[in-house]
Amino acid sequence: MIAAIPIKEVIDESQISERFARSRYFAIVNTESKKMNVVENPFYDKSSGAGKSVLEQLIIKYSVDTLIAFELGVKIQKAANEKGLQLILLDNINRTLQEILDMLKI
Amino acid sequence: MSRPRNKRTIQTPPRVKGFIPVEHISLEFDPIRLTIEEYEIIKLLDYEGMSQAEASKVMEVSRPTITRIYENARKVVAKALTEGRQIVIDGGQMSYEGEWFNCKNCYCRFNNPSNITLDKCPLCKSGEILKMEESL
Repeated sequence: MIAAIPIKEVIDESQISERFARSRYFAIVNTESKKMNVVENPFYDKSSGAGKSVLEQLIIKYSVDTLIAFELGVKIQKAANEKGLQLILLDNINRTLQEILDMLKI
Repeated sequence: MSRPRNKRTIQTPPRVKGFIPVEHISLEFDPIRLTIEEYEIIKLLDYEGMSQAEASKVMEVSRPTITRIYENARKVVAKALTEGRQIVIDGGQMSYEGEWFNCKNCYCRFNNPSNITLDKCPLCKSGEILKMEESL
């Protein structure tokens, strides 16, 4: 699984961003190689259509097959469904990146 | 005989099954039901900020139907807030966009994109998962 997780800061204790496509950063986590890297989201302040641009970049550039978020906007979710992505919606907005990495055993 | 209603498409199951007022005295009253399609329309219009025309495409129903569901949804929420009643989010004529599950260990919700039988949570790997059923 290669998952994209929207985070507010570039630290392991970072909280998850409320809105996926508007997140400043993404943690890209590969559960097979157990590696993680953080990338900036160039579309975080795009006036409209950020969701589709973000999704295309995550799939093409980082081969992401899973989105882990608190909430997903309807447009990005519909596009992700069409691409056959695994969607995981967290129970709690206060979850940190470290907690998710622990659950994924990274 | 009237034509059967089209099912409304719901993107994701609601996070909770309802709301309870702070004052326990109000628990003596019967709860008010907000259907899942009424919940979805409040989410699309008021949380996502969509227009009724956009929401009608997402839920795959006509725009007048969206208007009608939204009017009723607002009445239900207003009644619950004013009378201090519990809200139960349940039922309605709808189907989810794909299969959705709930993990009883980490409480996440997740879809099943491959449509093969799922036996564990993709996040915490717990086997305690429950398929979120469609109503009616």
